[in-house]
Amino acid sequence: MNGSAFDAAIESAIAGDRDALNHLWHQSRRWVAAILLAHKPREADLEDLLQVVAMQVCRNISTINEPRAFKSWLRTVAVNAAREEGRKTTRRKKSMLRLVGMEHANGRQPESADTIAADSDESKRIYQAAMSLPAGYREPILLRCVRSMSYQQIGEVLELPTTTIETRIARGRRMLKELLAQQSTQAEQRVEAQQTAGGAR
Amino acid sequence: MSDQPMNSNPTNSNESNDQPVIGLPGDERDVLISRVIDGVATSTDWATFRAIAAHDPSIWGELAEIQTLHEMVCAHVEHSVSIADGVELPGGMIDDRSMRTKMDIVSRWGGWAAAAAILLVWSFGKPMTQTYNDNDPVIAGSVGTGMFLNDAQPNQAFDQYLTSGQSSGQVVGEMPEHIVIETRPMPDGTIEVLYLRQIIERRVIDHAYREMLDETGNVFTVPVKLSPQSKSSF
Repeated sequence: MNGSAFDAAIESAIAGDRDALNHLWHQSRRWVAAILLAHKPREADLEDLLQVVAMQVCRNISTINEPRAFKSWLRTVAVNAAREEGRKTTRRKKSMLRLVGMEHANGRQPESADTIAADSDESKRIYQAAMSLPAGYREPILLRCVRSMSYQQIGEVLELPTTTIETRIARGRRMLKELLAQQSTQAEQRVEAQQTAGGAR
Repeated sequence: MSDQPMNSNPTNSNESNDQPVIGLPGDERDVLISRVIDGVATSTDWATFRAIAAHDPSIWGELAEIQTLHEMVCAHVEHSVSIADGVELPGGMIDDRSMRTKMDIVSRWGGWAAAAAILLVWSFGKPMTQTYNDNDPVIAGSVGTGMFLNDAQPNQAFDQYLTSGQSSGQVVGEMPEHIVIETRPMPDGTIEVLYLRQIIERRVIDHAYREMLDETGNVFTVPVKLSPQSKSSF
């Protein structure tokens, strides 16, 4: 769907056209998932959050006054859903204890879709390092991975100029590289210290 | 966060395009590498890149390293966000993928039902209304009150699970609120409602751990030492 068709679909969806709304959702749900990934608590289920956002879209699409604001509005809905889940998670952690051994008793470990993706220690380490970047860098880096969204498309979602998106992606990548190098150095130092301590005994 | 944008061309603006600079400030070098990785580098960017590489070959290694990081992150992200393809708007069109999603949700939330069935089998074993010898086939799902689970209405089976669970101490009770997942008007004028019923179960464990986050956001568990506050259980 090109830009003008997308804008027309937004107007139709706001006016109550269900098919247009479905089109918009299909065009947007992958990058919405990336936004959720960037902001959700690690243990929160991505699919559940997507369902929450989908519900909000259905309920509140008619509240958008300016069709051009659709993408930033949708991002805000996703960020709020992720943050609300974060608040719930914090409350749960404060009030609940983990039942040790339950997962083993059921024969499976709890895992969310994004942790399943971690298929090797190294790639998991890199992904987690990327997720630990400040949100301002993490978000465009993740969006860039969603079907290679262009800098301009990312800028429309984040309401930032294209040049800023380009700068943040470039800096974010450098920060990721430095963070991983720092982690490797620390890991080597820990191993050396353990070896030294072992030798001293 | 400082977001001073780079020049549209990361080449030093004081230099002509015919004489690209050998070194670039860190940010501009990063942008140049990023443009190459993202496939948006212009011919001028490439000329700058080659000029730098001629004097500083380490930029090739840097490019390869960042490219690899980018690809590994993207592999994770693409895999994770692909789950979105199965998430439809509520009440929207239902295709195979959305049905699979719904079945996933049902199976996830249906965990208590499976647990209840297992509990029933464990708790009662053979039905009381029949006598068995060792050669009889075991009939799974009996509920022990003269009624087989297969014969019981869902509400009866559920009530029996609650009753027997409460008497054994494994079920504390059911929460009064039912959580509505979805409502859908049916062609005959009725409304179909999907909802959750919440059961509180009790289990005695040897050790308790609390989940915490470290400074990088990783979850780890910490043993919790609890002092007895009551001599009796719930």
